[in-house]
Amino acid sequence: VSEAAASRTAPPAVAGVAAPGSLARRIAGASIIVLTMGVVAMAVTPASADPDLWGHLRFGLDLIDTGRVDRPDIYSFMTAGVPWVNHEWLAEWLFAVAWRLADGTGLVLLKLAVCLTTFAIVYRHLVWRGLGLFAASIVLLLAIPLTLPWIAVIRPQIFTYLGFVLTLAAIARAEHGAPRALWGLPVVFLLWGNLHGGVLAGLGLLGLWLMARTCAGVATAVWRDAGRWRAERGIWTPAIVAMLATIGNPYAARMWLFFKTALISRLEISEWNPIEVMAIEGAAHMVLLAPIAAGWFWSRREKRPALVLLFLALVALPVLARRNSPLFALGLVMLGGEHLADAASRLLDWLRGAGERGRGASADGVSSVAAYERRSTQARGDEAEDQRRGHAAAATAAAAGGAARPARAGLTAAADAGAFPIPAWAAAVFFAAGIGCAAMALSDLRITFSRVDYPVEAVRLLRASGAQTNLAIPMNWGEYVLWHVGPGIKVSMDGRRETVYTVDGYTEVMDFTFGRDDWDRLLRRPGVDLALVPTAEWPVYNLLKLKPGWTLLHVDDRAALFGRQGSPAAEVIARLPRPPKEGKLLTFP
Amino acid sequence: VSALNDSTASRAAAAGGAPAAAPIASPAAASRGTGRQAGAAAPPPVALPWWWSASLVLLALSIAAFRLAHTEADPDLWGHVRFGLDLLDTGRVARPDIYSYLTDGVRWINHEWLSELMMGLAFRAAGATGLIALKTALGLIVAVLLARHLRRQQLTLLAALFVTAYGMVVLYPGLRPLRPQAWTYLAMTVVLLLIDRATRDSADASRHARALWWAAPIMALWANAHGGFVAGLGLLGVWWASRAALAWSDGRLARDRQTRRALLLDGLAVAAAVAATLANPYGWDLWIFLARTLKPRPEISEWQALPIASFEGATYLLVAALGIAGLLAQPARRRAITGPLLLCGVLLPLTARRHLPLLALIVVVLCAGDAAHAIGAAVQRRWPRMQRASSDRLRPLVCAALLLESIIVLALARPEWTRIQVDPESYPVAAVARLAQAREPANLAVFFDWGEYVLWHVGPRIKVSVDGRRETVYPDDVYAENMALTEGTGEWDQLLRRPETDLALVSTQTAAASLLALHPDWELLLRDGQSVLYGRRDRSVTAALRDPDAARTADPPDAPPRSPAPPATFP
Repeated sequence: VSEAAASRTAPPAVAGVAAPGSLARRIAGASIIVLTMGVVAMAVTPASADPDLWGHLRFGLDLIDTGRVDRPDIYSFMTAGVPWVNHEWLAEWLFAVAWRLADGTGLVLLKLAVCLTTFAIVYRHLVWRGLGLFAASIVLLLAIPLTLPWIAVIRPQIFTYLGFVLTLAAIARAEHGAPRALWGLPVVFLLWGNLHGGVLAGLGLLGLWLMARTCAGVATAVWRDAGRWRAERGIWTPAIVAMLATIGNPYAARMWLFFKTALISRLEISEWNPIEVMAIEGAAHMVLLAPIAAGWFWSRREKRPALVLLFLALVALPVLARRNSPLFALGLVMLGGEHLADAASRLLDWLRGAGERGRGASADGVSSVAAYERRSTQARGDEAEDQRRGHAAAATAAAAGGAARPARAGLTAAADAGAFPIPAWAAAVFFAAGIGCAAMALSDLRITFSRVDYPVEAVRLLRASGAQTNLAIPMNWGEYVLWHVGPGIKVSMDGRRETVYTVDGYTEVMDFTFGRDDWDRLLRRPGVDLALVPTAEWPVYNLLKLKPGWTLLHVDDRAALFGRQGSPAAEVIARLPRPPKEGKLLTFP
Repeated sequence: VSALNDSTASRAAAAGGAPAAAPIASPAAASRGTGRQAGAAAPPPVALPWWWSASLVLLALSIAAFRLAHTEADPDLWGHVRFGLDLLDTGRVARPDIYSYLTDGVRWINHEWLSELMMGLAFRAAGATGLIALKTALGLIVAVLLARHLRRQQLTLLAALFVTAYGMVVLYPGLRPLRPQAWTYLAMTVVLLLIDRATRDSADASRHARALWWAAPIMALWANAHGGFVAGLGLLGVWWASRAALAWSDGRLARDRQTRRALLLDGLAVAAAVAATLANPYGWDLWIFLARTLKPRPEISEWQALPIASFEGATYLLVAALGIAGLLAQPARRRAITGPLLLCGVLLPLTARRHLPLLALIVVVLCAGDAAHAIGAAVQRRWPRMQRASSDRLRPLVCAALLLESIIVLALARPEWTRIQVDPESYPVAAVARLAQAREPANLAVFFDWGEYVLWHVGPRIKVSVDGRRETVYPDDVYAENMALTEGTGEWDQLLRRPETDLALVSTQTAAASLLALHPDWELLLRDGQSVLYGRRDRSVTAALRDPDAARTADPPDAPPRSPAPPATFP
């Protein structure tokens, strides 16, 4: 910020407030960071089990034991002869290593580390874009409510969130004159391509950005300017290398063929459905989108067309699939945070003007509104000057191959000048609160799951039976079952879906679940002696009750276990005592 | 229609000038400087002979008639026509239901009786052709009102027709079948025109919008034709609230007596519109019924939220974008009133996709004219030398071609006037033919979508468990029983356990078909590609409907679906 602007915007000195540049000021800044990260840690640490977690862990442990990524499946009776493209093998390997080191605690700590890194990158980006630490903290925390439901579960998606913010940060840096940041992307994409299929989102982001730059380049005939042409090539080279890096996986180009399945609609899975705009989740998205969109409108900061395009693409993500909500939240905060802060500073200016008006500051006959307008105009002039200086600095830095610090304004100016009134006692409170939050977060590192979501007692019965047979089961429970009783009992389907099951097999299980068409085709397969189904939400329970040749072996308020009459497994289970009912909240696994 | 000819342009042209035009804003508007930014660079007016405009209008009308005449049967059409005919026969609106065995003692609030009466009249007069003519007339009136409104906003004829066509394309899915919603489209158009007129009239806050008094008779008719009148009342309320807020925010409400008086009179006009909706056979009870039943219906696809990531969603975004563009181009005072109305329109399809046509109407009536002017001005600024490409010498030739095209289109439309298409893959044609063989009365548990198809063909001898009238005549618990049967969840056979249920007709695509196949008390009577018909084993009607040649004629349960049957027609 220009010195003049800083001196104008800085409030009068407050007793106990650190002077700019002093050690005390650094400590005050550190206290804000500690508090922010403490709050983030407290928010992201509680962990619950997703239906796929049992599978991820099992496959990761198998990978450690066998040392082979590309191996045949042993957990399902419907996958014979089908190659398994495990596109998340690296994430599963990391989960398994964490588990071997410290069981559930290891998994939670791994998730905490990844999520904290993700948020720290967003925070760092906001500060780099010129927000003061306090403003950056507020903007960062805005993203938490929408990401929380998705990062509460331990899934390979957490690596996608990290990869996504890294990609966005690199793109933003390149847009603002630091293209060298893009050279980090090949490594990011190489790892991301083995961690989770969400790498497609990163490729989409990168592709869209390159497309926007290409359009801008063609429109302005960039090739006629040797300097700009060179700079453009400096962007394309690392971006293309990053895209090619995704081939660095055990399946090479076969992974790409597999990824086309990710583009198929999966409306039978709720997280692949669009968000409901006229519902609480829609309102939650609006709560984030509305101020940030307003920030884009009212901000005086430069709006680069390529970033505007990326912003619009981010807005569209949750209406494609609700599982994209964390990308929406993190991306919006990264791209719109600086504009939100600037617009907020204008609002604060206006409110200050209103306050002056209320106190009769315009007693000299000049309306306070006019005074506000004059101040705003002046501020805009200063801002323009700041922007000009910033761009000049960016251009210089770009020419030197380094990153440019952007110009600072509004809320950011006060913080940057160290004038934000944080007295020493407040810094001490912040430190204490941040450490307290972190301590609370680390006090309970269990992974929990709700009994009503899983067939807990029925699986206990299966395990006690020691049966070795095939089990017809809806997709959601497959990995829970294979962890506890696999591969002795093989399942019909689990959450791996198209990575190892054929379309026909998937249809067969869906027909069974929803009682459609030839619904009992699955039961007619040889060796299928047991069926484990939910009692409430699907018709298959009613169907099995009527199905001749099948008998009800166990039923509770969540699940029912049926057996083929006369099969050894059914006879063994029928003789077993009923397991006791578990509590509501259970600990993984 | 007279407003659709280019008289405005012709009058302006008479003043002289070379032929060149702004692409969208009409020459007259440009010459008067009302085309906003067009002002300084106003192009000279163009002379357009009346026969040129008339041929364009004729072609537009024939295309519209051709498209609107194409009619598909909606699952409720059989019911609407049947209830309309019953109304004609009995002369009573409020009458007990005779078509279902689960509606004893329930009062039937038929909130669409007027549209059903019109359908009954049209059907009695000319069969399916009468129904098609009724629907086409409603659609054409909406199109003409929209085009006339746009022409009054000084759009060129071509631009007005183009924008109208755009609106009608969005409206068209709602006009493919004949439903009472068609009356809502017409009434909503009229109310929006009144609102637009009132907004312009009350631009000076101290003026009372007299046009608004016409809303009362419109609402009185609308409330008897379709439940969509609630949306119209909502828009009138939002309009008045926005106007009051504007008067309050600029201080006129406090300091100007005339403004207060105008606002009061406007409020009275809106109140009269609300009161007019009580002029129905049920009085207050209609309101109580609507308050009880206006709730989410996620099990019905058209009541689900509009999916943004779809073709429908893209249409929605385009319409909303046009509305926002028009809003931004409006003067600030008008924008303050139109903005909340547009916001309502934008939110409506997000509550239920069936509201997309209402958004289209709001945008075309309240915003599209301004958007077209703004786009025209922008085009004029960007390409100031753009000239009209047509030549005066060629115009008679083109005109003749347009007339010929109109005749061809009307000729092509001829077959559409005589048939309402029924997709035989969507209805239990064979099963209902079998039911018609039964001579004795029976009660049929039926798939919701097929209730009115069945009651038309075999009712009231065979009574149904549910039909499209839903909460207007069925209690909530009965509806829930029917849904449980279709979904096969929970107490799925509660409906079948009722002693009065003799038969069951369900879709092969539902779990109910699989469950009935396993139920020991029920006997398969017929199975085709779409439906399965079951009878309770101990009932005489089951024996009557049993096909003696079942082994020869009925498909085995695991047989693949038969090849599609030829298209059928209503009824």
